[in-house]
Amino acid sequence: MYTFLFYLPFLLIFVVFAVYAERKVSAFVQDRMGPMEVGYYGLLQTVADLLKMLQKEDIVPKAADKRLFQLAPLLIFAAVFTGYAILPITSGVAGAGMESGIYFLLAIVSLDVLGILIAGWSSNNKFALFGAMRSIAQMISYEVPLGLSVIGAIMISQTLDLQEMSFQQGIFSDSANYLFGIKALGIDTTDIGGILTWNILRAPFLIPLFIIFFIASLAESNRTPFDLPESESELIGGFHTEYPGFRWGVIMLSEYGMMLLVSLLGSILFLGSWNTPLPNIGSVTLADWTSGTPGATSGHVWGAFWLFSKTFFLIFLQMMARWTYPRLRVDQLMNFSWKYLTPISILLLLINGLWRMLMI
Amino acid sequence: MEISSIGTVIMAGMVAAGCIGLAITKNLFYAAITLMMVFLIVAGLYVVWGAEFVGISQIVVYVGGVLVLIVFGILLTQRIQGYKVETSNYRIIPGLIVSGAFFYMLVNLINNLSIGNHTEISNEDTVPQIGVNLVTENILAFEAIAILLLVALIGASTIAKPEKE
Repeated sequence: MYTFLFYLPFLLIFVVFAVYAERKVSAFVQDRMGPMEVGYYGLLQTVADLLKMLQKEDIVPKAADKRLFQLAPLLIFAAVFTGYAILPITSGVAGAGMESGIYFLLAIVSLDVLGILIAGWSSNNKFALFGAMRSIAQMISYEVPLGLSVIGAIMISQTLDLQEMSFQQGIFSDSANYLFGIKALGIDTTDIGGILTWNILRAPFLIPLFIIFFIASLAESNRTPFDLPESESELIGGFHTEYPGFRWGVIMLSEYGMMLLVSLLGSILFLGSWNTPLPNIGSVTLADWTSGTPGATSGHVWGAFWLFSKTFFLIFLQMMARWTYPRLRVDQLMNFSWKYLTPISILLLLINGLWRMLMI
Repeated sequence: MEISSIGTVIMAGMVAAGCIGLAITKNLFYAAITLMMVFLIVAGLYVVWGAEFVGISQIVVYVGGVLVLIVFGILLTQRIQGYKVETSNYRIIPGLIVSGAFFYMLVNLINNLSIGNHTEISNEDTVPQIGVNLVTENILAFEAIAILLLVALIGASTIAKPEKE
């Protein structure tokens, strides 16, 4: 229920401002001003673009497979949006609260490959099919390091439920937390909270794993340096070459939706979810001040604030990466996933398993 | 009626309709898409019956894994090799007889089935139970599958290896 009431409008508003932010970030990286004309400081530029886009005619190419062509964007968006169903927002709002939440998320989100495939195939266009094939090869390959890095966080938390995982990473934790997760050190951080109880510091080897997660999530959402599926200079637009107006908009919506989803997932799994980064230091109980009470209004406000600040920071990093790095070649892309990321994440997984033993 | 049995009836009807559509359509690609819908609804059935984990595994294994590969295969042969992959319906009457007989057998079997004393299984903590069972009681099957998958991986990379001159 929260998914429709909260995430759907949130996603729509987010996309409008994310496109604006993307343009501004790209402009500042390249020492330009970016959009300045529409609204104050160009704020309404995306809204104007949206209005223009919605007025476009809905064209279906003559030789395309009409039914599948029209269905594909909705399939992609449905697959991505279903993933939001299980995400917690604050300490009081757990989403669907499924016991096997993260497993469900990875399963259902991987279905957007099918939508992309149908989109590329039904367009009956060589560029679209090439784009779709590249996209699928890339997404299936990068699902391996992504899944392995998620398993690392699951191993430390010992649960598939994202809300339970979130509770473990802060001052509301049921079980005791120790510095770096090592019980033998004897430094109890349960009441200190803050950044010290985030997953990346409960088990420090999650930090490289988080970097792998971030790289793989860039590839999953088809962002530069992994934007080969839609590389404008080579493939026109990839699998969505033939899509006009609103249907193209839905594809873009799901792409930005995927960005938001993986960033939310990254902050929930590794960066302490809705928990505050500020620790309690002696009588200066920063963590208590900035956490609120779970279930009360203060808990909701602080929880959502921290979760979305972390998420937006990750999205900002994604944008910086996009405007800093050049695009990879196809063979480099595959090598990078199979020869570097996958073996490294398996090794880190092993270390994390051993680390988990220190935590008991 | 309970909400779960209403869901079961609706979903079972959709599965049946999907299967008939799968058999009728001539376009192999449509058939693959219909098959995906059927698999997804079957996953939904599992969830309605309270087997959440099995339902999600259904999505991962059948929809996400097997089906994407099938669809990929169809696409590559059809558009890139340049000929159309089409199926048509041969031997309709023998097929109907065989499937009717099989359906009759299944109905009979299910009607005469004695399940015995079945206990209500609690839905709590299924994931840890599955994990513990996998590495204690069912460790042999688990390891056998692991070896099978390893063999498949090695086989795949051997086939894909470029031949040396």
